[in-house]
Amino acid sequence: MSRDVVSTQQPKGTWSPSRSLSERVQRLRGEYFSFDDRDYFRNEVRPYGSGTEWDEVWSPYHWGVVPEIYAFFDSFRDSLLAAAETVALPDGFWDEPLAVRRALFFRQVVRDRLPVKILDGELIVGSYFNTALSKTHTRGEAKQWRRQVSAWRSEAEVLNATGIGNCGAVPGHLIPNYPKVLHLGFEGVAAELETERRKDNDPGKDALLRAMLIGCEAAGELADRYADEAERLAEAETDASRRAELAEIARICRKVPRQPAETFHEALQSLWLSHMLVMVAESYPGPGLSPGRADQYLYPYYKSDVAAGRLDEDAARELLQCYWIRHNYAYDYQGRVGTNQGMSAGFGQLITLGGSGPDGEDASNELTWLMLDVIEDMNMLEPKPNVRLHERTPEDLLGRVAGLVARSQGSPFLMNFDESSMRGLEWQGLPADRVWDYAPVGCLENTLQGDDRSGTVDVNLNIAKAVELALNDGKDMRSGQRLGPRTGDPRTFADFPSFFSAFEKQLKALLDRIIECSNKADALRAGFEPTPYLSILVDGCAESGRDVTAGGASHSYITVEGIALATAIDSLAAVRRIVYEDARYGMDELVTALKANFEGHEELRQTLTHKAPKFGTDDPEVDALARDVSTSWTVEAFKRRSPATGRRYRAGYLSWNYWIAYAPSTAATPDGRRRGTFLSNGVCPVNGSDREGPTAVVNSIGHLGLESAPSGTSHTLNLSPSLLGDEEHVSKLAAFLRAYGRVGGTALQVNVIDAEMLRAAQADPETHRNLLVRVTGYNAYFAALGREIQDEIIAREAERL
Amino acid sequence: MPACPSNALALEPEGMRIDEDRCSPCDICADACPSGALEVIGGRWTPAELLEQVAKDRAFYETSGGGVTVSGGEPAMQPDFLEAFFARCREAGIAAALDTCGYADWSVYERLAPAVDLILFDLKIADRTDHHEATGVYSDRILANAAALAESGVPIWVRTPIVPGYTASEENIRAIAHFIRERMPTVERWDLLPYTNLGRPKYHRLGLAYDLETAEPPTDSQMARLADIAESSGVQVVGSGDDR
Repeated sequence: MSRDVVSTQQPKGTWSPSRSLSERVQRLRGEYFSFDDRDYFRNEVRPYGSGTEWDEVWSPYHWGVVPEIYAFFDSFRDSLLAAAETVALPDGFWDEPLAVRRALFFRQVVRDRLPVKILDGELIVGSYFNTALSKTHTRGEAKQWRRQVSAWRSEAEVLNATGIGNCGAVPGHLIPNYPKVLHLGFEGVAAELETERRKDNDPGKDALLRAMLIGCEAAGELADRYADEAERLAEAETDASRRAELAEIARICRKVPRQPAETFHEALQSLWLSHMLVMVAESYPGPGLSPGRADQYLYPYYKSDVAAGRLDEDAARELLQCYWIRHNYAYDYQGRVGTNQGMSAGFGQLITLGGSGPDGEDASNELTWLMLDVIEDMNMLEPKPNVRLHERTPEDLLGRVAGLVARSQGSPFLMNFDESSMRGLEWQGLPADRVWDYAPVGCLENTLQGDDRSGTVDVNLNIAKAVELALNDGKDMRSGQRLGPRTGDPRTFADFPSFFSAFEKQLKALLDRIIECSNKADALRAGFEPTPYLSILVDGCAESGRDVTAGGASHSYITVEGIALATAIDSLAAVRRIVYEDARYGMDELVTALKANFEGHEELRQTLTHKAPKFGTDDPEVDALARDVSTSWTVEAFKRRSPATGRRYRAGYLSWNYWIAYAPSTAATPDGRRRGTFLSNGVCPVNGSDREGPTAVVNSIGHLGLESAPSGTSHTLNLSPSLLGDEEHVSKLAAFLRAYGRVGGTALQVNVIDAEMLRAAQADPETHRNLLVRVTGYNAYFAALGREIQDEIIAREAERL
Repeated sequence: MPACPSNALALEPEGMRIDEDRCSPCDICADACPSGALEVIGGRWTPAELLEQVAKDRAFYETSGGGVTVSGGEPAMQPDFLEAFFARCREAGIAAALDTCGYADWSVYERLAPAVDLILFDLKIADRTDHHEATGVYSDRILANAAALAESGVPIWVRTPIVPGYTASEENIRAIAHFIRERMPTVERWDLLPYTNLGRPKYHRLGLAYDLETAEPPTDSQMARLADIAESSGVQVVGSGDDR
């Protein structure tokens, strides 16, 4: 095994697939990217209906947090319904309870509707999984569902249009208990369910357990169909080695996921099929459905195969690469949209590598290293790689990660920090002896594995909107519409604490309002959309007799993600400094200027921008204020529960694309931002305001008191490739990452920017003030350099690409 | 402009002109300027205040094996401050380095050497006449200080800016290598720093003449050749032109 701590490769080119990929993998990889030519297989959404006139196959609240498609909700619904194949249903279907109907429908689709396809050269099979399954509602259920959907929807549309935020009941975003299937097989899992069934006589629980048993059978039936297909292809195959591979695929699919996996190949096949079927069952193509710590639970299979001489490193690598490609097909339906809109990193079947074991020891192993190689060699978006780092991460592994970040433009790579992540999960009340085994889902949201549904992106709240309302007595500044309580005319506030208290009241009111809407979505899914197949894979559901959608998971939460934290902090800090402390301007002039979007008030705007302290500069006064802003709503959120499921709300800071989306619907803010200028992202400082360097940003984020935001914190750092141009500097990045774990937030991603971004920075220095470049033996802010130097640096970066 | 108590500011078509004879500098204009376009660079610090600022990044020093480097200008011009500051660093467990041109009086280095963990020492030109021609002073004192510091046992990194037409000759590098080998055998590392003309616009902005107006940065192959020669010093040589 080669452990090159610092690679000899320099980041001179854009990250690309390795030339050492086998012919098979190169072909499979190329085939995936051939969106326009590949007409023989596309994983497009396939709708399946029950044939009733009141049938529905699409749930708008699944997409409640994607407001840009609200306008298309009706057309999605109608076109999918129109295209739906009608599935023949077994006798007595409509007499069964909803959970059983859902399971029977799922099994029927998997048994004889969902096409089966094995691509040439594939070693891990399982192709079609993008569905829109019937809700299998009775006429009465359908009527109730529709009424409740429209109540949720009309409120969600108001929240979104006014810039307060958005909410939904989003599928995915959890880590199913795949290791259980690997160990026991679905037959073993079914035996456990049968035992559970004999325990008590609750008819609701019995219905769910019956439904789950049907789900277990369905998994085996789909595997059988792949075995049949492999045998059919083997018969027609003229190439002897491929024929042998197909025979092996057939053997494996006859065995797993029904029975326990025993080899590495079997484990990967069992994992993929179990994973893919969650997407079928939830009718949700991938986002956030995460494999978790695969280097841990796959390792025993790898180790025993290698020990028995059944597998060498090259064969294992190729199997992993075949598995990697499969995950990317979740987004096949976007492939032909266009180069700018088609492929997006907004998804994330997050795979977690490394991290600590139960006693704080490092848990990385040979498979961790092998998977890092696969990530670097494949140059594909999915499964999105995440590395857990902690105090005892070995130096060589940290160096490997830093080198990979440097060479891959950093872009696809998330680093998660164990100590700060675990502190939050413990604060949340998760068992102290379990939190070491956490893993993030989706983008970076921390959860436990196999028994935790934390609804990690279900609610997104715009904190900066509360600043607008505090400045306007609870009314939207543009429309005059009342959105929050009457907290008074700010011109009458005697001091800053009065202003802050108005802000807190507004924020709490917005939180309550958005949670009320979220409760509607949660109740809808809990009451009308059980997913028994997923419940099999989430511990707590069988024991409690409650579906995963109904809060059956052992740990069930709904996460409120805060948007525009730093915009709100800087706004409050500016009011405190400019209006109350220095009294450079009165509140009257500030409010007038904000309502006028600073038209005719440029001097005031410049003063707010440049003469007030900013978050992200390691300024103790601002950091204390920041902590107050953060804890004021995160602690409040934790006091609330969804009545339908009992799921408790918890907080996090992930603002996906909302920091852009809500920029026009958030009035001008006292930090000098005009309406329409982007809000701040995650826990990052406002663009351009972090002028004291990255270490100051990290320190400020660490001062936020992030335990009360246990879902985690999104922090993106931009670095120039010149900062990582040689081994010495890559090792400095490694040291930086280690320090981040001690003082920073829960997760970090690094962008290593190029000449194009530098040109943008030159054209618009105001929003790129934080961009660091290496000049000569020192680092400088690009925007602060003279034009001539900027040109020189652009030229030298351009030359690298 | 009206904010200036000394009437030192005038707005001209090319931008704000600061009459440096009148400017105190008092910071009043910078405070009044809403856009932050006027800024007084530098500030007054006590050793305790500076340490407080530096200690904020302690975690980063610890994980990188780094610390604080005092650079210039020429920090050795302020030995009293440095001595007090370095003492506080040591007390706080923060490693400290001094980056110097080597031209201060020996008594300064004698005081500071025991207080720091590393000295970054510039050796630009070995030959005393050439050094005089390029910098206005002879190299004798610098070389004597270098040798004496090496003898004192303080860890030293030598640094040589590679400026074509001034320091970039093979004889010069050979001569410095010889000096290091003979007189500074304990040096830990020798950095060859390729000259960049990035300082030129800064001089222009300050209305100063830039002496190296026509000098161009060395090429990668020039750097590589000089690095080969430098290897003969027997110390680790860093900077073959990749490190830009």
